[in-house]
Amino acid sequence: MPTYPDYQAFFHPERGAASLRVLRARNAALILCFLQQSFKAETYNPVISHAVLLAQLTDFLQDWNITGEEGDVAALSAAPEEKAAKFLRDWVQQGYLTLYTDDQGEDQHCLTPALESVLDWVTSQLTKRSFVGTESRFLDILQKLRELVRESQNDWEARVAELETQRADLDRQIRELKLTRTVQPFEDYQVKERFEAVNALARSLLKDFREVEGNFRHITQQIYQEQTTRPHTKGSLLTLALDALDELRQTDQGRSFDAFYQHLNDPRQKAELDELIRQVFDLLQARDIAPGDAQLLRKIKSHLLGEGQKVNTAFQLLARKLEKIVAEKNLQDRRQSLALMRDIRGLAFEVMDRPPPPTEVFLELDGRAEYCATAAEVSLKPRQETITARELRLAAPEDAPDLTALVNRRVIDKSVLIGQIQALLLQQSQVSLQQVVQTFGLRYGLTELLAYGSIAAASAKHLIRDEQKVLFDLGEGRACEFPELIFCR
Amino acid sequence: MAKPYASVIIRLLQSHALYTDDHPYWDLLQKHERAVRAHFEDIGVEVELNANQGYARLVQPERGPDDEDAPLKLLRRIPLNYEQSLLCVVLREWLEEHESSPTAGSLRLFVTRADVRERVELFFQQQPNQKAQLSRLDELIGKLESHGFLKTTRRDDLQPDQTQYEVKPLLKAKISLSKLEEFRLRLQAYVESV
Repeated sequence: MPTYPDYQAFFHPERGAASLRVLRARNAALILCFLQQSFKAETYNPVISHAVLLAQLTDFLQDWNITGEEGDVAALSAAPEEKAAKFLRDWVQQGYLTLYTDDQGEDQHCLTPALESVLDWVTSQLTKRSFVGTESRFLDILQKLRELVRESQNDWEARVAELETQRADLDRQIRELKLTRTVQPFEDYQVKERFEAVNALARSLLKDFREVEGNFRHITQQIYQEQTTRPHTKGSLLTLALDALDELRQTDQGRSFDAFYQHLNDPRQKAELDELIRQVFDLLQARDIAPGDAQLLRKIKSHLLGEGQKVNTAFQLLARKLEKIVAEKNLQDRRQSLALMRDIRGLAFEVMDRPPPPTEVFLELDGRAEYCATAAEVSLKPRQETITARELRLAAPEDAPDLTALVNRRVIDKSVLIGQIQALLLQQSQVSLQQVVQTFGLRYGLTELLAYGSIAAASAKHLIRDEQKVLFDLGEGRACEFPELIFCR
Repeated sequence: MAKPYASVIIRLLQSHALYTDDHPYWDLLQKHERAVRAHFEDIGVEVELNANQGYARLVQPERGPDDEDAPLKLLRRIPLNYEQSLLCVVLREWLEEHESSPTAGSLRLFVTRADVRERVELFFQQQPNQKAQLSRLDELIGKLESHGFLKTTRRDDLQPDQTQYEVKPLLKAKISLSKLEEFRLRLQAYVESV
């Protein structure tokens, strides 16, 4: 029974069970209507992919012109799709929906057990039952009690006595039938009542699967926590892994589920279920009884199989995970890597404002084989990281301007010029540029003059007389004024 | 005549690793494991088959400094800089977390770009230019993808943040405990040097 503090939580919208929170939520109407419609109304959908649910919610918001929570200015201007995405995120966070990624990498949603209970309760409030059947349920209770007492008997003699009473009863019935040659079938109200009861049972069974799955996860977590905190020797690890799996299977829930799954997958029982459902619908049709919720029972087998499969997969997955965790070479590895990670984290924070240069190699790993071959399947998709070289267009010679004049095609060897100056300086203590040019000539024109100038400028010995210009003949009718240079020994 | 398992050998040479869903190569490897191993043994390469994690890859023992007879290196060395190494380390931690999480719906780890960003943002200095930061992250992711640690499983061009990658368990094998230790020492040395 819930305690008083549980009820008090009702006053705090942020606390308490998800089932209470959703009723208090400001947009409870939206949540309940939409989720009922998507997951339960027309067809029973245990799992809906994120993309589909998002599209449905976007449409729903537009159809009902829902602009978001009051006072939320940002939501007013957001696109319906964005709003829908935000709603789904919130609902997952609030524990109304679960979100998981399946093996194909697809995001999937289910209702949480809490929300499923709320939706069922709301439905039961809204639908007026045609009548309240009491007879069948009383008989059910009687039947279950009988079964309970009978099947848990240890005393074989008592069991034999019980069976003999049953046989006597059967014999009596057979005798009566042979005598009267008439049977007393169920009245219409009895049929209806029983059909409703089966339906309700099926619904609640489907709902419970979700809870079973959640509980498995909870148990796994407990086992896992227990084992990581306890110190272990290497030898005990294998037994530990096996024990953990066993433990998971041996919980009351694990065993009940196992048994259920076996029943469901037993071909004989499967065939019987099919046959019974077919007969029930024939009967309903023959008696002209319109069942309120016919679709569910008609598809009950596939729903049960689907849900059962899901729980089973979850169970297998948890088992494999558990195995992986505890069977790992040693739990020490895990602890060690945790410790290393903690250190690395600390160091990484320290270097955050002065990160190592991107050119520095921090780790070297073995990559794939250095093996060049064309892959069997050539990808037609262009790879993004490769840049295809564009062919460079070469300028055609005729449209290019003649730039040769800009380029000094002749290299002036300064040492030759220096040699010429020094040769003259052997005979005299100083010599002017004019005298050098007169003796050796000016073969390269202006460039050569400039070279002489740079030789003069390179040493303090020589003089450059800017104010005194000398005219030099450059050949081809050209001439140039150049400052007088005096080279000294 | 080529052996029936020739394709497995070629596949192992061409890819980073073989996974359980690489049909038909994985099944062929299961069937001819011994022969495939023998083939690579001749050239001093080992086939590491990890059924628990669901992959098979080639490994070559470290060559000692005075070991002159050791065969040539077949596996290419891939150098990682600080940011790449750090992302690898973060993803490796994530894999471990995922393995021990009872709420995960699959043994495989799928992450979106937004998830990755959230995790690594802590370690990298905030840049005022968000766009540049994002493209740097994409570049990092692309690099790790080319090394076979990540695989794009869902591309979302409208919402690039929702692009989904699978983190391959190969990463955990490549970044072994000793590599983690190596990285820690390297980083420690760097911290002391600046």
